[in-house]
Amino acid sequence: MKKVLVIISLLFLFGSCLKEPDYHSYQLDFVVDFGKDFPQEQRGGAKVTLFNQLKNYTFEAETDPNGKIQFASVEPGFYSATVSKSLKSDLITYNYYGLKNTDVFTNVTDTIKAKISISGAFVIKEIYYSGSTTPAGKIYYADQYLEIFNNTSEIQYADGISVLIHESSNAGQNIWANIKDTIVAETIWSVPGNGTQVPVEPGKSIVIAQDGINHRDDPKGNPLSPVNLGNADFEFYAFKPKTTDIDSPTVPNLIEDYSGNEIIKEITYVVGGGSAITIAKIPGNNEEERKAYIKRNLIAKPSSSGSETNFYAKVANKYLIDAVETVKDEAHAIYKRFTPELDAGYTYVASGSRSGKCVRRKIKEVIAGRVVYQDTNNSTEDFLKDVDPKPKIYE
Amino acid sequence: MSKFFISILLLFFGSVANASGQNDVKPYNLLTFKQIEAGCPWLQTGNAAGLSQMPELFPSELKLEFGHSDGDFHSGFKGQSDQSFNFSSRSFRKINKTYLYGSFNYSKSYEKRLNFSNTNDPALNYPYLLADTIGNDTYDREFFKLEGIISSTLNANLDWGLRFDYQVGVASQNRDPRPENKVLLTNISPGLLFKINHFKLGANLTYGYYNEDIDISVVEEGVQHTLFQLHGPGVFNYHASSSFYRLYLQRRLGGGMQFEWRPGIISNILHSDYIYSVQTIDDGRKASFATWAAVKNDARIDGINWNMTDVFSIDQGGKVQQLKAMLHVTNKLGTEFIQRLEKVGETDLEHWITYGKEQKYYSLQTNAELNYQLLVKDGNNLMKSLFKAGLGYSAFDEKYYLPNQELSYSNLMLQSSYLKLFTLTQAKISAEMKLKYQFNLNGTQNLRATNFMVQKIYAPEFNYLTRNFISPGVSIGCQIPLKKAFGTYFIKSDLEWYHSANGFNRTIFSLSTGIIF
Repeated sequence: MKKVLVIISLLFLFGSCLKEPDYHSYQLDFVVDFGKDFPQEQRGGAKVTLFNQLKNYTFEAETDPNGKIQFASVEPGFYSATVSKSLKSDLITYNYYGLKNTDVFTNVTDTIKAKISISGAFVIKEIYYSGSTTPAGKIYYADQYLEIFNNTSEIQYADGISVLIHESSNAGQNIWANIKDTIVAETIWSVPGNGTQVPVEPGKSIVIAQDGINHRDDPKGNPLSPVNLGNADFEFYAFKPKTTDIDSPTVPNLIEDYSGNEIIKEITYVVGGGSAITIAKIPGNNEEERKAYIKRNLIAKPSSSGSETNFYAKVANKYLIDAVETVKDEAHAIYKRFTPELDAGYTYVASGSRSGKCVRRKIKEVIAGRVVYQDTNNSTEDFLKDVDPKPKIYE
Repeated sequence: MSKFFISILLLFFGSVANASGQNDVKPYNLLTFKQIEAGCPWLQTGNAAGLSQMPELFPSELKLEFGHSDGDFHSGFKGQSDQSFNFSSRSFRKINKTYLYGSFNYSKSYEKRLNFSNTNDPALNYPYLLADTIGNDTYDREFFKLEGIISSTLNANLDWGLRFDYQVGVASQNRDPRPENKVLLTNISPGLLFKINHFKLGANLTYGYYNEDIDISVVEEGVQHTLFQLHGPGVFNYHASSSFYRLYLQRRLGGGMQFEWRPGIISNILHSDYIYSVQTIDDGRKASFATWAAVKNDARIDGINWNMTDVFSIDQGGKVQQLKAMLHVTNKLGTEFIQRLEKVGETDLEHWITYGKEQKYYSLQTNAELNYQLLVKDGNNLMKSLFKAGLGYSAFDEKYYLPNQELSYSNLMLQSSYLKLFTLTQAKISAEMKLKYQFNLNGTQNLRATNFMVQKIYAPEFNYLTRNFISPGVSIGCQIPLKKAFGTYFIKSDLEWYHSANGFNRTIFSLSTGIIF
């Protein structure tokens, strides 16, 4: 009986707690490779931002004089490390950027290559891709537009400037990532002109509309659209036998240089985000020469069914003037397509499709009434998210 | 036999069907249920076989209740006011050597001015909660609950018992983003009780299942809202979406043992329960603008719930004195899933691929109580007064590792109540005075992050949990005997008022009416 009582007493006292978490932390050591021509004494002080892609928080630190940086006690996860460094030489400022995606499940030692980035005369000021909702509750995206801004103090000519959409739509890995210093575009449309026909004054812009109409008043528009694009400078218009695309009589059309998709010929930005958009000056002084260049640089891709082959256009990075990576959301940032020298970051409309919101470049400064937009080639830093579309308004 | 099963079914609805052996005189008053609960420690053990140890009182009750609470002294995960309407019935019965208990409850409630919560019962899912930033919401709840206990004799030395409860309901909010929470909670627990001389030894097993399926939609066209998946103090993920889906699923398994020694008028019962639980939390999105192609594993909680109680009683017939010591430990370990959305296979579908599982969260809640109660009975063996006094200690410590965050505090609570039944001609009046006083012993908050969630949720919640408060309460009831079919009509009102040291108040009021027979 005593033994039974002892056993019973032990059973009553039975109870153990869980042990404290067996968690992991790792150390990340990066060396920033600025290239052999970069002055040794300038390698310190570069800002390195480590971003946890799952939890949306960042660490920031600066490189030591040898261009090295260490992050200690980093929790496991998926990170992106971006480097930015400005180097002043006489009156010119050179911006260096680098990006490295890193999976942290052990201690990491890696190199981040930083490349020089040159700001172009034209910058993409605003992208409105999210579309709006009609009173009937339907989606409406004919009011999408892109705004290109002259960020210099001199008149620039937009003739021959092309708008390109990257072939990868941010739903998966960019299969063209291994083609060095080149992007692969699905569609290329260009501003008409002989070189002096489309002047853009300093601090002014041109608006390229999906459909150049007043979307709020036009019977074919949407009264709930946030924009009037009746005064747009150009529009995308793709003639097809059964087209539903509107050809505005008051807004001139862009030239269709190439479309890798014969069904959806006109440029349509993904309303949920994910279009990687760039403006470029493709070699050639006219439409024929541009198309000849594009034809020489086509690359094949079998369709997902394998029954047919589509062709897309390779364009060298050196011809790109400005690039903005828009992604669906943070979860899809891992499918970023532009390399750091084109765009070290990404942006998106967090409110999502149909929200009537857009992304707009931040103002850097105002010089004698002329707005200068921020262009560090890092759209995470350069762009405002979820703002109201304001074509041709500079504020 | 058929009469037996019909009786079980009717128990849930407070059946008037009488079992053989019971006479038609129904002397029960509105304290009888409280007397059974206070006077029988076996009913507090969780072992269904212990039902056979209850006093020979078999009341039934049908009740309607209105409850209202309002005030700014409340948890950050709760609304400022709560209004509830309940219909309930419960009944104890004895058929031959079989003891039965059944209850049914229907509840409709409105929790108003609620911020930052999209889960029905935040305490059950803490720390892995779901919140949005749109405040002033209302949770509209409709719940049903059934509970039953049966206990009978196998032989002269052995009783068996079975307890189950089943609760199901829907909670929904009426403003974007509007969650609809479908909740299911059920427990089943068989038990045995071995009796020999002055000793009784009991054992029971418990299996529990909880499922909360949350479907969040945004009715306004083209609008997305940010939803925060909380992971611990100051730590969260967020996503903007026009729809969101979350599934909490918990399974509990455990058991308990009881040992009683009753040589005469004194008795001592020692009982302990140990329950291990595993809860998973999954997320997803849907609708035409879905960007997540498959449900994502967010987290998992391993939990331990351990309770040990000792009740020492002296039963002098008209007076029963009881001293109760209780220790309750709740321990949680939270694990997060590190997943990435990737295309897999040849179909181009995206799936969440698991790269790792990290233990990140740990919490330990300890509650200890020492209570004394004196129960005084009248000549009919019915309770006429009940005095209670107690001292409670609670401590909570939670840690989130990397980035390191920590919260800890401990409180001491003194509480006392006195309940008395008076006779006033035909009617009987019950009056109860209550007093609670909590004071904080210590509290440390080490939150490195000063983000929106810390400012709006964790810091105010810490203040609420560590605030000194005093709470007086009063309860008045009146019962009038009915002449024919039913025993007694009653009406009862309860009022409690909380006042915290920082000037916050809360008033809890309820009014109930019904019959006891």
